[in-house]
Amino acid sequence: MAGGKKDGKGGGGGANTDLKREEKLQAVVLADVCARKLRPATFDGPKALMPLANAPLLEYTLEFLCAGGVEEVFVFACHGTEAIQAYLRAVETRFFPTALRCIASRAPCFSAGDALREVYEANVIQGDFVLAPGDVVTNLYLPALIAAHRAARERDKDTLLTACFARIPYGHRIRPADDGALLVVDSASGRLLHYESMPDGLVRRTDADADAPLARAPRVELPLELLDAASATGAELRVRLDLFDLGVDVCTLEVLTLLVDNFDWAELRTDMLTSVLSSEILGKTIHVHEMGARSVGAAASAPYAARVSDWRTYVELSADVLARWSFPQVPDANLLSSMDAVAGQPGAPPVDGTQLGTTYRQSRGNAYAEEGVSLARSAQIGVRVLLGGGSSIGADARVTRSVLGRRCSIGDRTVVVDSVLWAGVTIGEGASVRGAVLCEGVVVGAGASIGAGCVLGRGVVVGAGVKLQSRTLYTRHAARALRPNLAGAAGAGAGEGSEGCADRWAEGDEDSEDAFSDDDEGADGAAPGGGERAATDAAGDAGLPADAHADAAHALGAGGSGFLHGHSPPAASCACARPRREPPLEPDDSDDGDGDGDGDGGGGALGGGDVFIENALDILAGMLEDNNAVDNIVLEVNALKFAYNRSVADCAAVSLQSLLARVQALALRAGGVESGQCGRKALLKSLKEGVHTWAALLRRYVTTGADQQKLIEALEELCEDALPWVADVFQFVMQALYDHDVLPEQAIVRWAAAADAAPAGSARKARRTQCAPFLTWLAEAESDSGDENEDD
Amino acid sequence: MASDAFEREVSVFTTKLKRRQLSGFHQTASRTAELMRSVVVHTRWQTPAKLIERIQRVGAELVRAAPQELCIGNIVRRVLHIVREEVDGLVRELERASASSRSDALTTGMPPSAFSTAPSLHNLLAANLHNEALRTPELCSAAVHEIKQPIIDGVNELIDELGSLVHSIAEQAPEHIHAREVILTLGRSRIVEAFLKRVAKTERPFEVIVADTAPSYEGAEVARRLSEAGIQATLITDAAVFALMARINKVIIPTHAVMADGGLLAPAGTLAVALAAQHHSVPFVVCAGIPQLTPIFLTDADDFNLLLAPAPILSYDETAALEVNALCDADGGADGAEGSAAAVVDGPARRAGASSGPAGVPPGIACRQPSGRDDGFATDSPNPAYDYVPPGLISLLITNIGGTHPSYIYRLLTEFYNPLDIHFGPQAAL
Repeated sequence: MAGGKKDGKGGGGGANTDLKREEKLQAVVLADVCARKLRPATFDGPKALMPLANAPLLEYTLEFLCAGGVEEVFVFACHGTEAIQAYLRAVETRFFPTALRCIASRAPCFSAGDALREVYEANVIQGDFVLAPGDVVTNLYLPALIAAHRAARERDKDTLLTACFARIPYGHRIRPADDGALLVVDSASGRLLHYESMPDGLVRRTDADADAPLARAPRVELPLELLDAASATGAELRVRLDLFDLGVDVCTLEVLTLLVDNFDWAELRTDMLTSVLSSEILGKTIHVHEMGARSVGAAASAPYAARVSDWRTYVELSADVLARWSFPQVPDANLLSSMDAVAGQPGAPPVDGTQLGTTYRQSRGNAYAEEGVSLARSAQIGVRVLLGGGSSIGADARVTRSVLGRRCSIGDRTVVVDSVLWAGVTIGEGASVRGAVLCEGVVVGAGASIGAGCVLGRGVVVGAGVKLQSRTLYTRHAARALRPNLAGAAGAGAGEGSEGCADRWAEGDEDSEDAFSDDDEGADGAAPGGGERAATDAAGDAGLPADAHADAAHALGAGGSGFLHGHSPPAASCACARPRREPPLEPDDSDDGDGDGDGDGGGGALGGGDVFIENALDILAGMLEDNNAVDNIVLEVNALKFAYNRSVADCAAVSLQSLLARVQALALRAGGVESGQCGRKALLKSLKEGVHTWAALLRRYVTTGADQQKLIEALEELCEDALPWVADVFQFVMQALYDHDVLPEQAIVRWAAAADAAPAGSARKARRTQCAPFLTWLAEAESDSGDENEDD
Repeated sequence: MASDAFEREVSVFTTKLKRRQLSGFHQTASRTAELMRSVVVHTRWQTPAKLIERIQRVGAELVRAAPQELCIGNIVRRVLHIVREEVDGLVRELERASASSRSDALTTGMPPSAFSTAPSLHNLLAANLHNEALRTPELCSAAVHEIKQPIIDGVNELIDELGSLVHSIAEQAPEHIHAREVILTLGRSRIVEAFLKRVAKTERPFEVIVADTAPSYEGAEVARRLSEAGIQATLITDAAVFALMARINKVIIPTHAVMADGGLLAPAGTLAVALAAQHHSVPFVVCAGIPQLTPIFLTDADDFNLLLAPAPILSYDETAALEVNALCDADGGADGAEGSAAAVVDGPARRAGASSGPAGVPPGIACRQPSGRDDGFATDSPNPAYDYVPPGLISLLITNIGGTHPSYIYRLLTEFYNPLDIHFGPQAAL
């Protein structure tokens, strides 16, 4: 197809433009390829169908494309495909004459690259197409972007794609904390010359270094050739940090063919863009279109653009929509479909195509109410409020800067501030909900208080009078039920929450292998029904692990139902602001699980999840559990190593982490759980066994002295971050590794010497002290063997 | 099938209205009239009442899509008026026929004059009887075909009127603008542009001062077009309007709609100009087409207004800094004032720059507090599309049927609309 296009190009300019005009304008929407950060809501349905200001999130993207004159939209779905298909059928008439089609993924997709390869296989794209993520909200005038792409193509026929960026300064509230990229752009042609992904960002949102934002910034090295080339041609380069990646590209067909040829490209930015830019063989160029920096003839003001990437941006975006930044995609335009277009809304009438519209009206202070809202006379409705139809608000209740879905019920004297309530949420009298997201059908008992940053998954029930800690996430799904896609990673200690959460998952997950099946039914049955059967009872009956059910009972109160999912990291929580993380971490520590970790980031930093680590942990957890042969495991890890361009040390570190997580799981299974701690004895026993079984795996990756040193470093990091229990048994881990020839004594001695130099009171020093018996033994053994040698 | 295609046409139109791809008088009025014509032509109606209901239903749908586009409702009312006129004529004719056939004239009920549209108590009371008459099948079955073509002709006339409206307003221009006059205008409109260009054709020397019309800054484009037409045009900022008003001979402005009291719903900024004109006793002349006359009274300045995106008056980059400053303000004083103290930024928000921020909080960093004390503020920057200008400030209204005064609007309204149609539609959407 690409060849055919080129032929067309040969035949003069006029014919060429005619050809292009005949082409149907097509778009590909990637509905949630990676939506980990929006858990636990995404357990219940795809991210694309989450409500944003009471309209499905996907609707904003579709609206943007259809208003921009796209004639055919392909929505690529890999999670919740049926739901997305049903939704598209429901809203199809609204988007007439644009045709909406769904491409269902045939295999699980973890990256945009995989998704686009599937799109290529579907063989539906005929020419240049618009690529958009399913979570973008913008009132960008799409024809301007397409015109920019066409102009770029006219100038330079090797243009591969035109990427759209918005000028939003780094650290702006709408930008996710971990999103950042440095772009070097030729200012005359708009050509992108260099792309450097900086997931850890430049500006840290801490108070301490706020006045010197660049003081702790990581260095960026730009290739010298850039400057050489620029000075040769007299081009003016611009180094941009303030460009927010919209993920909206106008692509040529070659994008798809390139992705198919390079099957290891996962992310469009970190993999494809950097490879294309650095490759001289491909000879392709990429152009940057900066929104708002447009010439005459268009609207005077810069368009709005933002994406929902985590809970914080979700809440900020809701507020922006209510503040009309996304005009005309505002509630009172009644342009977007209601959430009733998405199947499974609590209390929704059957979808028949006529009730999809909304009837919002605006009043002062950006307060919007739909028809059929019942307000008590003394209810106070503040600014930036959206009230869905059928909602009722009790006497003296106060609602400010919040979104209420349809059929919500707010009790008397209840306060709802800065929150997003999805459809069918019931809040009892005198409760307080601040800075929280409550998914469909959540029930909050009278007098309960939901702290800032809490997210309650669908159907969670909070008992009366309960106070929920800030930034806790609850779901009605027991860990076990989610095992296939989640528990593996969580068990390995690298879920997206903090370490505490991961531990709880691990325990709750692994312990009750046998007893859990009943328990699932109990919990699932109880939650949506409004909590007739409390999780505590269910847990009691079925023998839920002491820890998990203690959590549920303690946190959600009598009559509550739901399971703790974890804690939201502050930077991504819906109660935003303040430092990015609670414990100050090392600057080179990468970020919590997100889809676009940088492929070229050096360092074997474990603990956070970039894609490599997450994937590796996922795979390893499964393979270790199945007792796969070491050779097979090595094969898998190596595949990832090459895919993400990682070092041997990274593989060793990740193997070690999986191994230890597996050890912990085994110990829990063998020894049971007592007050959240597994028996030390059981732990040591399984440690011995585990290392015995999989030492061969580590030996593959640890060959040189440098590798050994890095392995110990990784082990130390694990102690501090992902697997804190390791600190208690550090000595035994070292010993086991020594016993199985992973670490030779020189390496251990070298480490001990280095640790001696550590300041007193530091964790490292403590570990050194803990290892003293082992080191003494080691020294003796050495001298013994030395003696023996001498004797011989 | 035909009705399917029609429904689709309506839905495409309403979607475009909601997306604001179509807005303003010229883009919406004629399209509405065309849709109304296809209602009359394509729908099957057995009785005139059915037709009226159908028009009302489609009309209400269009109005719901863009309630602030008042001319859509006006066109629907005009079409309803045409239908009612024809039906009245028919009723009168039938009554005359029955009166002549039967000697007992008393049984015919209402005298024909009852159906004239002049608003009187008698007419209002008779309206119900009128509706009854429309529903009687024997009256309608034969008559439908008789009135269908006249109705279509009437709607066609309306469409022609819309087409020639700009021209007929512009033709009056030489009567209003004299040699060496200085005219001030604001906002962009085809009508005023044609009006001024028409004067230029007379080769009378005159000067136009164009206000910038922030935040849309349409003034620049207007000034460019006028100077291309050979008119001496000067572009000034909105703030300079008052200072220059003393030199102005006439203010000539377009409007979005003329309300029932003679007041205007005009582009934002018009009220300031009108007040300045009043202060200097400068005639304030409004150009508007008859379809822009709206038989509705504004009860609240927010009615039918439209808040646009804040982007033109406040750069999105700055919102983060504003939150910080608002927080500081809230910390300082309004800590307890929950839900009421919204920091409202109108116009360019430079004053809320970083200078008032607390030390150590860099601009561009949002630090909304997670809970508790943040109840007091939310930065809002409303950007209304229209101003309401009360009738007292308006000297003259130039319509396509001639000049008139706001106090005379009520007469025009009764001439062009039927009082039954002021709130039309099943749920009286307006």
